[in-house]
Amino acid sequence: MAEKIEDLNLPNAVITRIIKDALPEGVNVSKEARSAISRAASVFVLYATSCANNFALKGKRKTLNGTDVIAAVQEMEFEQFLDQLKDSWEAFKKEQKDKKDAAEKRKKTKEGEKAEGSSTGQPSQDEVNTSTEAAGNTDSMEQGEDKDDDQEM
Amino acid sequence: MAEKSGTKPAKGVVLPMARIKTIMRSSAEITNIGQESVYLVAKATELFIQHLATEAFKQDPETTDTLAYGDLAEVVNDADNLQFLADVIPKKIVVRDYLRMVRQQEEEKERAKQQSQQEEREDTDS
Repeated sequence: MAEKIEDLNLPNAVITRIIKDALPEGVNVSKEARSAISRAASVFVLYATSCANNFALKGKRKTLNGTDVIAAVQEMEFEQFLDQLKDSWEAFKKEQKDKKDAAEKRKKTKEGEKAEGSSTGQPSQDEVNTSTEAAGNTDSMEQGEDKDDDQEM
Repeated sequence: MAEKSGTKPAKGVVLPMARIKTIMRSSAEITNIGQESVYLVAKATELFIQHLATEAFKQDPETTDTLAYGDLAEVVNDADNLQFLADVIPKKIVVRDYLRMVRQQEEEKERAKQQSQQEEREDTDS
């Protein structure tokens, strides 16, 4: 939660970088202008949140979702942002999905290892082979091979 | 400048999402905020900062080396979709102009008062 009023400011360095990237090289931004843009950005966040919340209320939802934000940006008359926003949204969703998939895969391999460990202290050659075949990705292949080596020693 | 933003990955966002979420949550009416909405607000805010800076920079074609406060105030004053910033980035005026405005207002009030008094007198006359 915001405890200090500074917590509602956005970091200056980041704001400066975004401004610098937007303007041609070598343009000076006065200190006053920079702090004004920073304040404006915070107010923009609040305004967008409030607009988005109205859409969520209209939809009888308790959680703000992406469509609410898109609708809010449209209502605020910043249509020129929409194309880029939607592209970024797609990329974000894909990234989240990939992360989730990766996490699930990790969980699966972990469970597989556990099952292996709980079986007899010295797994037979056959068991090791099946586990390497079951796990498709290269990571677990290597693990399987490691186990193989251990056994031979 | 367009190339620079083009090379950035579409999903990348420079503003810290945790901070954006804090600001969003500081609004009393908000209950739950989905992760994707934080991301989209962060992205939109980035686009907004770029937009505000470039528009203000275009405002004064004579000075091409600085972005001054006055340029921002001008843009905020002119653009319909920036009206919500009227109190955040107000136009600056010098004290002399301010005093003149106050005096003008007082004179107008005075005139209105005199007029109404006159009308009252006319009413009682008739």
